[in-house]
Amino acid sequence: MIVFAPLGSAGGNLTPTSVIIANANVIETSVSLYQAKSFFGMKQLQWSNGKSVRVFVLADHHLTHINFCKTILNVFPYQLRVAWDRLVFSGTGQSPTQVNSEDEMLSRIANTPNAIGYVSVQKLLEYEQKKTIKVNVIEIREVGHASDSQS
Amino acid sequence: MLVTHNPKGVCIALNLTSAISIWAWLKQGLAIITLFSYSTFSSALDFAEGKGQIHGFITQGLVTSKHNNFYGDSSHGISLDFREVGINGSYRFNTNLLVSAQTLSRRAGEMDDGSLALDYGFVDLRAINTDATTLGFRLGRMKNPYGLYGETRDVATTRPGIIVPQPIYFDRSRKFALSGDGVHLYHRIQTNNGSLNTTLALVDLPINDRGSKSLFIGPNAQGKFDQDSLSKALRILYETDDTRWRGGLSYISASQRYHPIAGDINPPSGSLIEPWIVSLQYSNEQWTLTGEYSQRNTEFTRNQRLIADYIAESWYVQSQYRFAPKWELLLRYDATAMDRSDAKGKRFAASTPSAIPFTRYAQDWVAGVRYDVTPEFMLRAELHSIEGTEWVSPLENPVSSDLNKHWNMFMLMGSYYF
Repeated sequence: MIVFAPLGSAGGNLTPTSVIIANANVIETSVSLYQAKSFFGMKQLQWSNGKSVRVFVLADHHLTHINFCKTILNVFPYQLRVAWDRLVFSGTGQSPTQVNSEDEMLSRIANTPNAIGYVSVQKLLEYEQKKTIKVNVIEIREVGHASDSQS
Repeated sequence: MLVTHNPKGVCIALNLTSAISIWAWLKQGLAIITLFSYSTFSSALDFAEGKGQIHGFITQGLVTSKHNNFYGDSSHGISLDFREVGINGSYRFNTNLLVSAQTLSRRAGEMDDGSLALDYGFVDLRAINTDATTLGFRLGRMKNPYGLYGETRDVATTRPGIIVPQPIYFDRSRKFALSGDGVHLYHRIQTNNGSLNTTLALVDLPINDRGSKSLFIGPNAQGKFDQDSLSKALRILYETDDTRWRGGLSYISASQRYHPIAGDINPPSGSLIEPWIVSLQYSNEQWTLTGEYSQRNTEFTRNQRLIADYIAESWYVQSQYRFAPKWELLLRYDATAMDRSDAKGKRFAASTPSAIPFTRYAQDWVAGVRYDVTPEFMLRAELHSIEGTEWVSPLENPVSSDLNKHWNMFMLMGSYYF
């Protein structure tokens, strides 16, 4: 049977269960949706203070990755993959660094200056209770303007 | 490569031989999958804290066709002369400086001989680098900004099928639209509604490959094409903020001078090739619908006199349907007419006694399936049902009276990439 997905948001009925996290040295506490898309699309390469962004992602089929893409970024995982492949195989850009688990994601973000990534809220709470790792949570601003945080 | 002479009446024998070869090929493929699944070499190689990256791909295809040859001697059995191997490296010194290069070996029957070539190699400098605006230059050898698939047409995982739509991304004279040496100026504006990406290219576009020369001059052309001036290319692509719609316009103008040598029969002295493409793509979770329409103005001159002048018209519509995780179905119709004012080649056939009308156009129905065995390895199968031979190469089909108007192809492909 052929079913068209709804035209609205990529998330459909999914509720967001993931958050953007960054290394503790990142001064931003929020980004606009299109900035978040540009970071994870490997198009925006620096933070507002000019420091290079280091992007970490989970595997395309990881449930947290799927939830993050659809409910936070409003894109489908395959679209990010297509965009990265286009950059990588035309030489015009690079792909993000893929990590193998949410635990690895948290430790890489905590230990890599200027890093950005995402993790499930559940995993983040688990770590916050243990207080073993310090990362910043980055919120998505409701309305972003192109001139908000130019370098 | 397996070449089986195929006299009439031994179809069963041929099919058996084909089946054995396909089985041998699949076994080889399975061995490769097994090898890679045990390997730790499963994703991009990052070094220097992610500043340096190495990526690559290896693709092997298999083609069997009824009547006309494509990617090798495919009409007499199975051609394995379809192989693409590439490796690239990039290093980001800082947010404004990137260096990248890719080498490619591509074997595609008589159209590409598999020799190693620098596919691209350039320095990318950004002058403006904010979240709203990017402006930069690339210097060196870059892939041409040409349609939706031009830059990565040789990377199987980025293609919509085993082969790119031939009417627009023609393989038989592919060097013309592939890459150029010179400078690109690129610009990106990002707003809440979407992003607008513009690339302007001023490059040298050599068309001295055998495929192009055999087409424009003749199968035994030995002379050399030179650029009159740098070729100009422009592409503007817009993507909506929700990434559902992508579309835009591409244009190239390439003017060449031909330097004949003794033996060339009545060669032209100059050529102008000028394609433009309109592209539109819609994507949702399960579907990607794509259409591109192109016209290509071609002019040949001899001693400042126009000797040939025609506008080719090409288009395709394509749907990709992700019906289950790891699976994708492809359905495509593509069509081209070398001269849009003589779409079925009738006038062409009437003008020359031995001319064949169906060499002037082609229409291809394509159905295919993609299966992602692992995130790094995929298999594809594809059926083509074709009328006309506009995009087959004279190098693979040297005797035009042997060409068939109606023909079909079956293709299989495995590709590993990291």
